[in-house]
Parts: sequence; C-alpha cells; structure tokens
Amino acid sequence: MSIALSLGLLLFLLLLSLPVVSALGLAAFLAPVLGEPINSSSIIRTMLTAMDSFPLLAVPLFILAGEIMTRGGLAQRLFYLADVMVGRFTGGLAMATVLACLFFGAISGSAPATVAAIGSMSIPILVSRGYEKPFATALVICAGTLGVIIPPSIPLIIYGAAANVSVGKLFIAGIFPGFVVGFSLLVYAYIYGRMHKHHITTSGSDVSAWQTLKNSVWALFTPVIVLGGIYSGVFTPTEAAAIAVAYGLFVAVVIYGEIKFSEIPSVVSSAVTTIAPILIIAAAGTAFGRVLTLMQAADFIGHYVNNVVAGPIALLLLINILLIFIGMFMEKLASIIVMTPILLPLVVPYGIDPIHFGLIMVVNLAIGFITPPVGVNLYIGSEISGIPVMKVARHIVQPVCFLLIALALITYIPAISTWLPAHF
Amino acid sequence: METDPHPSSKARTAIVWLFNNFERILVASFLSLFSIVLILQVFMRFVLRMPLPWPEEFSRYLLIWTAFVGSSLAVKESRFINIDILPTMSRGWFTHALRWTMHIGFMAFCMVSTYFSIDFIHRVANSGQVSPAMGIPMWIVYSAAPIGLTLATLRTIETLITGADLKAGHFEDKS
Repeated sequence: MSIALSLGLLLFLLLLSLPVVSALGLAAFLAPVLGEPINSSSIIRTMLTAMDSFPLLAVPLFILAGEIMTRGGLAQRLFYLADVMVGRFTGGLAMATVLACLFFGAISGSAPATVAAIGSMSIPILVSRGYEKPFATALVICAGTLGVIIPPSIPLIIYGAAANVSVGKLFIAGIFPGFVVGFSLLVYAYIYGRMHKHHITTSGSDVSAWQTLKNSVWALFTPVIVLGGIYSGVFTPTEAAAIAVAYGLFVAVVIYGEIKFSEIPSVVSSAVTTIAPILIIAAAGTAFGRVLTLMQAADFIGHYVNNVVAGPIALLLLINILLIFIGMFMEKLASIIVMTPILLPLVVPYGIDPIHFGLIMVVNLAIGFITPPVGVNLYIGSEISGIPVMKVARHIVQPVCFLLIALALITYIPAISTWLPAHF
Repeated sequence: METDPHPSSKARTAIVWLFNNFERILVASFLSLFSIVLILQVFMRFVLRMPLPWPEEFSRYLLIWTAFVGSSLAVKESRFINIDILPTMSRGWFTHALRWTMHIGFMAFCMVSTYFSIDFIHRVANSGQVSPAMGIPMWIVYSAAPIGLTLATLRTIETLITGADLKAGHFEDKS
C-alpha cells in the first residue's frame, strides 16, 4: 500500500512543478512517515554514496567533451562529410542531416546537445535548398536521439549505475540499435524527399570530397579512440571520457584552431551549466529507487503485472507503452533511475538480458526527448528554428512512427543489442 | 552586472561578483581538476605503466562536491529541471501560488536533507572513518551535502526575493 502512496506522492509533487530533485527527495524522506521502517539518515547516505561512483564520473566528462567538440567545429565538419556521402541522392540533404547526427552521436552522449550542434547548422541549409522548415526542424529533433543511443551515452551510463551492468558493454551494445534508429530515419528522409521531389541537393559547398574527408578525419577519429578503447577492453568508459576531453581539446585548439586557448574557461563554464542540475537528480533518484527496493516495489508491481500479461512479448509491449508514456512527462535520467529497480526484476525471470533491457529503456526514453509536453529536443529544435513548439510537434508524428518501428525491432530482436557485446 | 553605488570601491565590486559566481567557479574548478587528474592517470597507467593510487578516489569525491554545489548553482541560475505543465498553463495568482509552492517544496527538501546529513556526518566523524587511498576523514567528503544544500536553500530565498526565476522566463516558456 505504501508503495502506491509513495509513487502517488512523487507524481503529485512532480505535477505541482517541484524541481525533480526535490520531488524525488521528499518522496524518499516521506516513506518512513508512511510507515516504512526506513532510516532517514540512510537516505542521505544513499544520495552521497550514489555520487561516490567511478562510472558516473563519465557523465560530466562526456558533457564537457561534447561541449568542446561542438564549439571546436567538429559538428560542422561531420555534417559536410555526411553531405558528401549521401547528398547527391533523392532527399539527400535530409539524409545527410540524419547521418551527421549519427556521426555526432558517436562523440556526444546527449540528445539535446546533438540537436543543438547539428540543427543550428543543418536547418538553415535545408531551408535554403527548398526543404520546408517545420520538416527540417522535426527531422533534426528526431535524429538528435541518436546522441543517446549511439555510444557514448549519458542515459546508458546512468542505467549501468542503476542496474549494476557494465557501462562498457552497454556502449558496445548501443552501436547496432543506433544504426537501426538511424536507418529508420534515413528511410523516412528518403521517402519524404521522393514525395516532395527534393532532387536538387547537396549543401553547395565548393570544397572537394577529398578535402571534406581530410577536414573531418580528426573528428571521425574520436569514436575510434573512445569506442575502440572501450571495445578492446583497454579503457574504462570513464577513462575513455577523460581521453575524449583531452583529444577534443587537442583537435579544437591545435588542429582546427576554432577554440582559442583563452576561450577554454568559457567552454568549461558552459559545460558546468549543463552539469549543475543533473547530478543531484541522479543522487536523489538513487535514494528514491533504494526506498522502492526496500519496500519491495518490484514484487508488488510484478504481482499485478503477472495477472495482466502472460509471457515476455506482452510484458515488453506493456513496458514499452509505460515507458513512452513516462517519457512524455518525466525527466529522462530520473525515469531511468527510478524505473530500473522496478522493471528490471520483472523482465529478468523471462530471460531478458539486462543489457538488452537497458537499450529498450534508453530508446524509449530517447523518444521521450521528442514528444510533448516534456521533450527537451522539441524545445531546443523550436528555439533554433523559431517555429512554435506546437507547430513543430505536428510534424514529428511521421518521423516518430519510423522511430517506433525501430523501437519494435530493438525490443523484439535481442540480438541487435546483445550480439556485439557477447563477442567481447 | 550589478550597479555599484560606490564606483570607487573596486573591492566591493569584486566581492559582489564573487558572491554571484562562487558556485560556478567552484564547480568549474572541480570539473577541470578531475578532468586533469583523470587524464594524468590515463597517462600514468598507459604510458608510464605506473598508475597513481589516489586519482580515482580524489575524482569520485570531487564528483560528490560537484553534485551538491551544482544544485546550488542550478537554483542560482534558475536552471533546475521540473515538469512545467502547470506553470505554462497557469495565469495570475495561480502562477504565483505555484512559484511559492515550488520554492518552498525545494527548500523543504534541502532542509530535511541537511538535517539528516548532519546526523549522518556526526556518526561518520565519531567512527573516525578515513578514505582508503588518501586518508582524508570521510566526514569532510560527506560535508558536501549539508554545505551544498544549505547554499541551495539560501539561493532559493535569494531567488524568491529578487525574482530571478521570473526574469529567467521560468513561468512562461521553458524547455
């Protein structure tokens, strides 16, 4: 009973627009009041020890690395490279946008950052080539989710901490699901290009293909170092993140010269702005998740769920619907931290691999970045293009349908996520 | 920035600036420090093949401080994350009621956490627990919670008085 009360209280506090961190924290502290034998000072201990974590250090480091790569002109070079690769096809420039997000996803762990980095550059170019602005905006909002699916990925780091699964393996597991999502959007871009007769393409850059490749090779080398290091077992994800910071600075300052030495503090400062509100949410979320575990919430919910569904197919369908719904309203990192201890014990008895389940959760919540009313990508996209949120929201319906197909494939074909990590 | 009533006093301006920015400076320093230390450790481990014993521990403790001081920075800059369905729909007195509910709820969280963290830190200090690699008393590490959350409480009061959250557009259109 107190489980339902605690979850209800959390929802109520969230709806009252309390900062997510305080809704989670207060819901945790009020559990003893609801009659649960939980020591209040153990709640604060959980908050502190949640941050005392080497894997979680990768979160601020990848945010800093992403900030350096965006300001360092890496996003721009990746976009031109993508344009050289697919720009000449029907709907090519739209496909180049998707591909650029896919490349950028391999150096950034954040979805909104990917929308900002690629969108601010690709939307004006797409519009100047005759694409409709709401389409261009919606496309980059959706493709931005590749930032959290293609490794590195901040939600996957958080899931790894919550589910006690190797972050390195999760990163490796994210590669193919990222391709599936990317491919679904490439198909969408192609169909759209065909239907709207966007044959005239390419960004019109007068730089040769060879030069473009040479320009972007330094950027492309980032995922090689980061993923290659993790893949071969040489680095931990946190060490890889530290290397990404060092390498990003080297490329941006020395090679490309886009960041002056004196500008480094301002780059660090903008990373700080992003980092400040999220770590404490992870701390409070872990505390609330721990309270739910102590209340045996998974057993409680499992009891109800097992009455409704029989078998893993129906269970995963139910979980997907639940996660999409939560993703619409809830802050994504907090959702992962709170929902993992509840949902993971439900699916493990059905033989679902925790790594596969992590990808299901992250792809679901990535869609939550797009969908109103609480979709950060949507707001960033609308800010970049200057189109009102609700107008952009109408145009995300089509690409989101393609994302749902990708989600279904990732959910029901475990091998997409588990094949690659099983070989290392 | 702030207008200075005494243009001659540079020291005063500096203090005001520091007062407005110290969390940002702290968090940026923590972030830079553990980035550098971890890069150094990667270098020590993979190039010189003699890893240092302390960087991992040092970085993790800085992460604790980053999280808690960061919460105060988030308040200061009205950047905390909330579900803003009601604020975007609300008008007039309801907006103000929500704003106060939100800030009071946040302060309640900070104060309850601070209260229990002091209790917790007392026990850690009495047990004499020190960190394994560097030997720093653990109560110093864990003081991040009461210090960061007390700062956050004070910043919330400041925000309520100055209305910085209103200026930041927290109640009209926010992502």
